[in-house]
Amino acid sequence: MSIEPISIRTPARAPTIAPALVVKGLGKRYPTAGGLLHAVDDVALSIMRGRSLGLVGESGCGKSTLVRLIARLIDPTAGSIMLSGAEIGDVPARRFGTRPERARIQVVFQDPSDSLNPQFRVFDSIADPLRRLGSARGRDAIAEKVNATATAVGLPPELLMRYPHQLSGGQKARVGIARAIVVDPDVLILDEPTSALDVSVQVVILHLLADLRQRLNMTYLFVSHDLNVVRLICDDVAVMYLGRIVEVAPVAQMFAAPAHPYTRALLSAIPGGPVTERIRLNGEPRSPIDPDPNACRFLGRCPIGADLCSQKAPRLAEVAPGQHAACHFPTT
Amino acid sequence: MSLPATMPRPIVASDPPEKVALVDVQDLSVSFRTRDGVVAALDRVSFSVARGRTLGMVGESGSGKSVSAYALMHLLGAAADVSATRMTLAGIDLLTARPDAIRALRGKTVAMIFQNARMALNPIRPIGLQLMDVLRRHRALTRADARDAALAALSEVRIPDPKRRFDAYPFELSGGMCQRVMIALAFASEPEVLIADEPTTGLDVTTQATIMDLIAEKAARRAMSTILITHDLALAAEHCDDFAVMHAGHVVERCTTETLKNAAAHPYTSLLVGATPTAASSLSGLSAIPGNLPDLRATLPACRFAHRCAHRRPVCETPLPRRVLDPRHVVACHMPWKGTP
Repeated sequence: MSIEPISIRTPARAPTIAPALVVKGLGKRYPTAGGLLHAVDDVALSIMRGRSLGLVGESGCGKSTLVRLIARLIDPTAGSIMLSGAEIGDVPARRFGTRPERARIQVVFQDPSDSLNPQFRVFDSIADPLRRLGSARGRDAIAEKVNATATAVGLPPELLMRYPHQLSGGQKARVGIARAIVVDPDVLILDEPTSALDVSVQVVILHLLADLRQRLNMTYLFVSHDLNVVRLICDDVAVMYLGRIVEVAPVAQMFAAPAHPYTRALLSAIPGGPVTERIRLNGEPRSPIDPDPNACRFLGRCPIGADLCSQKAPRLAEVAPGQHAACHFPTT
Repeated sequence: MSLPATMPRPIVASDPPEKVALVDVQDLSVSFRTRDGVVAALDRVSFSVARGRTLGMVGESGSGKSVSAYALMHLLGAAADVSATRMTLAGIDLLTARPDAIRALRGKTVAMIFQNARMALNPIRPIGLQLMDVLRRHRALTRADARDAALAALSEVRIPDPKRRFDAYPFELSGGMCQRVMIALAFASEPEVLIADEPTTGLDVTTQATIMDLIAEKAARRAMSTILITHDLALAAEHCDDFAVMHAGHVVERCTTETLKNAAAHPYTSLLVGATPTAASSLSGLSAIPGNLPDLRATLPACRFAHRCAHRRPVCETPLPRRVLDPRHVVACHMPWKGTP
């Protein structure tokens, strides 16, 4: 697909070496009737500028909570979130929406049909963040920016006056991306951006995302449960299980030599995937309410499950260059 | 116990030969009368499933996969005009059967796993009672026996702690668990034919694998015929024996899984395979299918794919052939790819 060169962004602000996003000791606990629910527990992540990190894990593992924390839609109960070197974790979520940092971290939500305001025309959906965050002022400046962004994501200008119900799934996905990148964010969080799309439309959107990242030097946090898609779009992958990161590695390394037993099970479950011997996970995950601090979270479903696993919770440690796993018995 | 999905399903000695189709549909057409005109949703669709085999129905959204299943279940509403030259299910002619005969068939002989289990379950009835309803509808069971059978069905689909979950409402269960309840419901009456409409969409890969194993295991044990409707070709290729590829209300190609992977003859099938991410593909190697599905309300050309097709020729405007490349490979195309470019 060809996209006209556009100038929706001033030259890159920083060299590509600096981390765009650093998360340390991040936690979110919810009080429930049964005790404290550890939705996200002691999560550390870092993404270099211009890189793309995939976040995978089963439903209920805390992916969405982590994303909402990092996007500053909810407040963490512990830890720090540094965006391009500045702490944003301590700003209350309810005030973050009006802060200048709001423009620098943006989210593309899961289902474009559900996340677009049905009463907004496409133009207004894309212009709304500009107006709210004051990134462009004046009718002409806003129109120019909206048009440039629409062109960048391959939305024909004649669609700008339409309502979401008049668009196809692929077009709605483009609007979702356009309104996220219109304010020139440093970090773009993509929450299952293609899961509601047909394969053929998915390919188009994946090409678009890869292309945008390269041209705009954007940093992606890409959440998905489709590992085949993560492999195509990401440089690194983080695997999450029950609120914790259990493995982080460059994507090729992870697919070739998964170290954590949960990662191996995940990879073996991909249809036509790299691990041909199916590893079945029996049982349900342990309860996230007041989990035993001295036991591995994966214990009970793990095919290894040794004594040590119930006595000491494993920490994330380097098992191979660039590859970290939280397991007492990693495969190397 | 599970069989690798690629192994042929065992045929029980007492079963009719594999050639006997439990599902046989010929020239099924469905159109809907809407305010905006008549939607030609299905046009002379034919497919069949032999005992113990799994048919994958694949294609983009709006290609008519679910409508085919609904037509087979007689679940289409009054706005649908259904016609066919032949539509049989386990030997019963659906075209002439009376409504009460079809009602008896539905749920008993043929069961369906619906898309989005949480929506398909009754939100205000505990799942255990929903299971009991189905069991007692099809089998003469006392309440107590039905309760035991329901508990057994829940543990069979690996719902942990079935006694506790028995009284749970759908909203109290995770998506994967609702899906398993749905499967337990579908299997409750020991159907001969199972229609699974996107049974794992929206679930994560590990849950998906468990659920697909469960279906495969059941299908193998009972020599059940399965129709798996999905847009996930990689998943279907792992679990199906045969394929019906649909596009805009046409079955454009029928073939075995091997043929689909290696020798697809219809240009649409090749494009669909080429657009599906696999563990081996690269982003640059994946290409989108050009264009969109045609508007099914308009007057449609003979080949509904022609406007998206790179191999289009003037002959494509003449009525579509049904080319039999081999007995298990039928393609509706004037310019099929036959192994030599």
